[in-house]
Amino acid sequence: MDGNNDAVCDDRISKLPEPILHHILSFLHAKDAARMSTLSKVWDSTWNSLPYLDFGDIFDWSINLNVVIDQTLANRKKHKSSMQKFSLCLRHYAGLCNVGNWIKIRIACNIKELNLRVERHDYQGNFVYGSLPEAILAAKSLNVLNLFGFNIELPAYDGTINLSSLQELHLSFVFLDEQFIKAMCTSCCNLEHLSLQYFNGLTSFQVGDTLPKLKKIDLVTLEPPHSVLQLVDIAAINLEDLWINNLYGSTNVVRITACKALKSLYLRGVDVTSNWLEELFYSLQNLVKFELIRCKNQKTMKIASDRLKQLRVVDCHNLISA
Amino acid sequence: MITLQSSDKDVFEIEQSILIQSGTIKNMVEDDFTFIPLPSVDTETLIKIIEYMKKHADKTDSKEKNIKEFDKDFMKKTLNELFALVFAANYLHISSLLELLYPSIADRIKDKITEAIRQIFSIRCDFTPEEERRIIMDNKWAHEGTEIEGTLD
Repeated sequence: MDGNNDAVCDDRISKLPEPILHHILSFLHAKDAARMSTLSKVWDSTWNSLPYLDFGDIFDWSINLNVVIDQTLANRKKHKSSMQKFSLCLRHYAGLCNVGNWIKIRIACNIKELNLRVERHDYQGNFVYGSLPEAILAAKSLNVLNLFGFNIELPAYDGTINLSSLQELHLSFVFLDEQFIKAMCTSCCNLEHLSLQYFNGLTSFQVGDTLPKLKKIDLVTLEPPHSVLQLVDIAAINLEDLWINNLYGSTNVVRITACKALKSLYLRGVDVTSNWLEELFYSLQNLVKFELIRCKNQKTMKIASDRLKQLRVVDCHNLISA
Repeated sequence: MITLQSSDKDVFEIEQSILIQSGTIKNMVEDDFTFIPLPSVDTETLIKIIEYMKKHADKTDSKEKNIKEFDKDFMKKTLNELFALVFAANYLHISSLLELLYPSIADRIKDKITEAIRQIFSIRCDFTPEEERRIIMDNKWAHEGTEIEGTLD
């Protein structure tokens, strides 16, 4: 062997148990992982049974994506392997029509995590939302769902979703409406973390007490002329962490005093009043961290709480005393 | 205090509170064992494992940055050392260490052509020429843009 520090004397890696080899391969793109199959029988079997597929960022592949994924799926079906995690990022929309089929196959294999990203622009360079395959909203084995760039609509046939195992939902650059949020509140009873970033369409965000496991909510809004979030009304009794970030514009009405377990609150671009603050500290006995950024209205603000450990107030013009 | 014995018969006395990061050791301690032989972990690897557990035993907020720096340096090891650590961490059920090791080993594989990987890891090809050709065809898309092996042995 050469003097390379990295060379090993015997093939120790192939002797690792298959679950460990799977975990190692899960950090590689599907292309690198697939190439391992030519090394030896152990690696061919490891690739074919790999339950994690990350096709990463596809914009420089000259091959036909449909063929690739069809082939990979067919292999898995042949080997009866379960599919746990699937990630795909499509810069151009064209390949998306087959995604519906692939999703159906995934679901048949009880997939646990799905990450899908599309970035499509029209001829003027404007961002265009992709159409979401309906099958995704019926994937009842999913624990984690990450979607970027989609128009999120309820299924046409019955308007319900079935994501009862979902623990984490991350939606970025999506278009959605209040109907979807309502359906989510009914179906996703195991939801722990909800993240809506740079969304459009929604003007009021309302979550009742139907999500007992919900611990964390992140909301980040887009700049005008996209829709402005005017109302936030959350009554999730076990919520611990709430982050509302209006990069531009502001939200007028925020009702969160029912979130008795709230420990950490970040508000940016929310117009609060003294009374609102007083009620907040009175109702939320567990609040230890509070950050208030860019609140324009207040001239005086009283923030009094003996439990608060961290307080940050930034960029509140007109503030004369606090 | 718990006593650990490596495969080379060296002994180490460590506080219980540090060792319970290992699921395996935790179970044995709960069954009242105070002397734990580890016939599949050699001294050199055991010393590293103990070093890791000692650093990770104190997980207060202020130490977090410190721990991240330590982890980064800890992974700067030869492949042989990393494999020894994976086998040991798997046997001892130390999931945080495994989670560090997986991407570190994956990094050594990333973007390398097949032949380079074969050499680095000393993986012997056990396919017949026909089998090898079929497997390359099955995953043709993965090989495009890289050199396909011409040698068969």
